[in-house]
Amino acid sequence: MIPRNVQITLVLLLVAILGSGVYILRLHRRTEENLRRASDAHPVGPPIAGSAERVKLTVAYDDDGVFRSRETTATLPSEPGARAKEILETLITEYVNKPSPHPLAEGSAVNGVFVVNQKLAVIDLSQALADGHRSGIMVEDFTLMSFIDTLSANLPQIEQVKILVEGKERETLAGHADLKSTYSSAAVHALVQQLQ
Amino acid sequence: MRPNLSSPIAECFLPIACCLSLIAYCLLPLSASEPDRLAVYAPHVSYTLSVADLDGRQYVGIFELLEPLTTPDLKVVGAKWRLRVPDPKALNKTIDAEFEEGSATAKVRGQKIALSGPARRENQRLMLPLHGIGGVLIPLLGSDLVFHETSRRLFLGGTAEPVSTELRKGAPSTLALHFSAAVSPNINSDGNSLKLFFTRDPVISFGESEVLNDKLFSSSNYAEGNGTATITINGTSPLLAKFADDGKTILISAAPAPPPAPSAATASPSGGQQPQAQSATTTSVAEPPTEGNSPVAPRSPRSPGFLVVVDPGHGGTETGARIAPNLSEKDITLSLARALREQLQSRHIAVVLLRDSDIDLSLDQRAVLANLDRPAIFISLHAGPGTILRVYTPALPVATDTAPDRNAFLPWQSAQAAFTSDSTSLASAAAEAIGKRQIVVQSRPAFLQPLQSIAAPAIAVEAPADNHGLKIPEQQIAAALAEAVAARKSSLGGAQ
Repeated sequence: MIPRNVQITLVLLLVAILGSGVYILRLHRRTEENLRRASDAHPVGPPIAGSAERVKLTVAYDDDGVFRSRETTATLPSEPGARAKEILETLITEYVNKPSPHPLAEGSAVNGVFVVNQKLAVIDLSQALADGHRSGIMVEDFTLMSFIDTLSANLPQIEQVKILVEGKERETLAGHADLKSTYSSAAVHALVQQLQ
Repeated sequence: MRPNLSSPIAECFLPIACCLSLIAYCLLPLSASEPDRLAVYAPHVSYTLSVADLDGRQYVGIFELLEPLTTPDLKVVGAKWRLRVPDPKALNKTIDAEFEEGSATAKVRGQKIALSGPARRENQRLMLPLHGIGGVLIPLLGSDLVFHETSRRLFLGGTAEPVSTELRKGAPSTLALHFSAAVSPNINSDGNSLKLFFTRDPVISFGESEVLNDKLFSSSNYAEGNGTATITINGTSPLLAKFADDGKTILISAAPAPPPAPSAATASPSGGQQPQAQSATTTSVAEPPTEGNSPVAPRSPRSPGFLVVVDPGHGGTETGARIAPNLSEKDITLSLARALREQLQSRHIAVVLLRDSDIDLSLDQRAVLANLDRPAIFISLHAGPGTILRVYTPALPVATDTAPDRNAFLPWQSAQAAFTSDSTSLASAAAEAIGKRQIVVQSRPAFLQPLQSIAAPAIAVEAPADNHGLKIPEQQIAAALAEAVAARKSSLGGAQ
């Protein structure tokens, strides 16, 4: 026979354990939610130091199903990664501003571009760009091709491009365009030329 | 200040802390666990469905559950849902059932049936409680039914297949797992253990664990959970599985010692994690790098012949483009795929759909399944907003100067390189057949998986859709595609 005081202690202990378990679960979910919300709060980068330069953009036109080259001016830093990021941001501005030939979601951005061995560029797209992207074979392909060809047109040393979303590999951009492959900038350029 | 260990609170502190840690350990993975699913095994089809948790009860969509088994017709009038299925025992007769939202009573064949919870409407779907679902299914389908409710495995028409183990003693020993029909488990090795996951095979076991008194094998264990049966073989050294007897037997033996220095030129399938079924394929494709357990198991390659594999794009949680609030791309592609199957079959062309229900399939899994079927033609179906029907040929992310030898071991990401000219011809034939029907069509390349990894002529078709569904009647699209396939049949190795 278990003494009454021990029984009460055990019951209280059980209640405390269950209560704590529920509390921990809630805490865990709240932390996850906070992390998710905080994921968009990227630190603001330093002001860009550099000279204004001509930038070649490969702009996609959805309605016509073609690419057109366009030149603009942007302040570009000297470091290749920062330079590549600024070039792509210039292209995104073309797409985000209305009227747009190839609309991208508001908040679309490039988190960073990492140039490896001066030949491979790893583009890290923002969650907002990927999640807000229209779903469709052609529109998704046009985003990829436009980004890759713009990058290789301004940084000719880049031979390969890999695209990540929020630092992680993803199967597709919005259900269609392949993001698992590493793209050859020459192969993409040949295709862009066919569609010019 | 040191805590007074003699006080009751202090004495309780350590056990509480331990218990809390244990609870936290048990509860935290819950949020990251895979979604609940129901596996259904019928004589001619096996599939999985997602299970919804509504107010603490598990529910399943009755239409989705019946769709692969029969041709259900579900109509909603106010809060009442009327379900009609063909009577399997009487030609031209139907069986009627009626459900009411919020009511735990249903009427099937005129008889009242008590449900374990109220019928619910979720996203325009009729959801019934999983507990006691047999009470509804047996009169509707007229077949035997065994339901492993805790593991959510539903066996219809006596499909359950018991597994038997046979330990063949020797130096070293071999453990044979015998099944009454060919199986295709997902096999994963973990140290000295080998795990076989059966999601599509109705495998059951009458015993849970068995101690194997052997130098190589220590024990075997059988478990079921979330629509999957798992057999774990524990050994004293790494184990290897091979298929025998046309897939009806799995032989488990000691894994050979790894080679001292792997050749960089050899494309290693699956990082050595998944043992492969032995087969004499003429064209081999390196499998994709796996991330954890793949729910799609290796299956036996088909015998050569002219086979068309149709891939209805998206499925399950991956809905594709949202065409309208209640219409997703995945639903349109499945319907179009079924129409295409009918059209091809009417032309006496063998056809396989990669999915015939609303299931999740990754792009790599689609390519693996398609390549194992050794298709003569692969067609991927998509739909999206727009006005033009587009036919896509696979563009490869890496440029290739010359087409690789089709009989060589092809790299996963560019297996299509050996078939690009045939794919282009097929796309031209498809565009021509579609254009003949006064439909505006455009043909262009696209960086689209799984096309790049398909070792066969492959195209993708994206049909325009709006709030009302496809803008072009699906029968017209299906007929045009079937016509193109028939036109290419002789040049792609099939007899006319």
